[in-house]
Amino acid sequence: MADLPPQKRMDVPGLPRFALYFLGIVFFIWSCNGANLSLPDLIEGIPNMGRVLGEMSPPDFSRISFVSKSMLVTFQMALVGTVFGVFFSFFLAILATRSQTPSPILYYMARFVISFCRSVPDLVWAIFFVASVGLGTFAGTLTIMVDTIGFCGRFFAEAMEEVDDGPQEALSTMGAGRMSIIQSAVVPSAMPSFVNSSLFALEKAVRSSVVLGLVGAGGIGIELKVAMDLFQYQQAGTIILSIFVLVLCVEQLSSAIRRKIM
Amino acid sequence: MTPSVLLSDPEKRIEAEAAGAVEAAPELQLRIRGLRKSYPGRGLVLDGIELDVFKGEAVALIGSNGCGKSTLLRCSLRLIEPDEAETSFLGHEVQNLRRSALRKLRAKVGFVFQKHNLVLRSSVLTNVIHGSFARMPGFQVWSQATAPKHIREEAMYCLQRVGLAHLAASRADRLSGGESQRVALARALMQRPQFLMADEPVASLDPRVGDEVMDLLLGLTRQEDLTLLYVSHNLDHALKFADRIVGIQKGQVRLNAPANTLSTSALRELYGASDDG
Repeated sequence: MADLPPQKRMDVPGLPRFALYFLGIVFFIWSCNGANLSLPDLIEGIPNMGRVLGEMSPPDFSRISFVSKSMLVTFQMALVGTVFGVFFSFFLAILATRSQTPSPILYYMARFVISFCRSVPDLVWAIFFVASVGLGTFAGTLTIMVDTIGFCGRFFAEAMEEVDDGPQEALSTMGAGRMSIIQSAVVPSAMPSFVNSSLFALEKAVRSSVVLGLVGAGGIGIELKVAMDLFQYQQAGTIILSIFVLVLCVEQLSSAIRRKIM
Repeated sequence: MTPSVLLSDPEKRIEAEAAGAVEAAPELQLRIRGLRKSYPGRGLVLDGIELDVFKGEAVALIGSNGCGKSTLLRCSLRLIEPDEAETSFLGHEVQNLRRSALRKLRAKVGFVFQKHNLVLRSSVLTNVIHGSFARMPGFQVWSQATAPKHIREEAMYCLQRVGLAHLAASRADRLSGGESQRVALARALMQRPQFLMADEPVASLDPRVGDEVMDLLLGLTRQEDLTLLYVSHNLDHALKFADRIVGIQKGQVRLNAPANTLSTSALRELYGASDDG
């Protein structure tokens, strides 16, 4: 036993590490204060939550056809934004893949674009596009597209990076060009990951397209905001229920596609 | 002077030809001189390799692990850039070729890999169709769905040659190891190659299937009047399926003789000393 080498993980942490842990805990407590965490407010708010939920039921289905139409537009916005986003992500991801990019400069530029699209929150993009192209679903579609580029661009590039290079070497030996190698060896191998990421992007887009309406970027969100602002909780209940059904349907559909393709 | 010795010794061949002792010399298809290649951390792997391969020959390349056999194959087509080499391959000075000319040369050489290197999620037919990349506009042969009829028919013919036409619609990841390697061979045939290279083509196969694949490889080489240069660790295969055996040790050619003059024990000597490089 005495000959066993000392295990690093069993070392007693030194003073600097203790200080670091302590500072981390202090910062978290400070953050709780900054976040205005308040247990009394939460307890006091529980009856209000119950009251709002009570007022939402039974949901008012008198405007269900209008709500359904808005839900359809919301879904269309999410679908179109995702499809265009996936399309542009594919080409950006090729540039952002170390093994496929034609030049290091393009690699860093593509990486930067993808990171930028991802790090700016979708609500900020929505505000930007509403200011640029006006209120409505077009601004929402652009927002979802950019958000999808940030999401899919990264995962597509990672998927292409991880593809086995054997078939690529084989095609290169046969005289295939760069695009042919990507299309015939890289894309088929990375396809499960592409499909998976795209379906997650669609689910994400459907959820975020609901919220985008709050800043005027089209979709059902604005209806929800108006209903809540006017205390029409039963109508709000219908909208929330519809959102739940839509998100659930999209998730089920994408799971089914995933099972079929993977 | 026996033909087999002539085959393995180009200088003697030239002398004999001058003396009118032999018929017109077989075409020299691959000529490598002074091939040197080093890797960071491994040092010099190939140290001045000299090798000639003539049209119609089947040459087995043997040597212990890490002695540079696979590197030699790849350097001859500049799939790996050599540090130094003068290589003439099918009439091209390989070291002087630009990218597009290099692609054209590679297209004339069918390369069969140890791990088969098929695109696993594509169909068998699509994989074979890929063999026509160099002579067709790329997008037309990305998959069987886009390939013209004559290319699909040619690919089916190549599959028929390796006995796998019935698996054309199967996905490549559903094949056994032997079937996979046969498809790789069909893909190489689809290139309409003048020269076949194979890097340990049966290393991942069981002995029976390995024999079948080697039989097929050599059979097709003979039928199509091709030249074959392959790497093998199987000494029995080297003796059975090659006209000439070239042994590499410590980065240099230590053996170059007709297969019918060699025995397994003679070949084993090559593996006696370990290779540092």
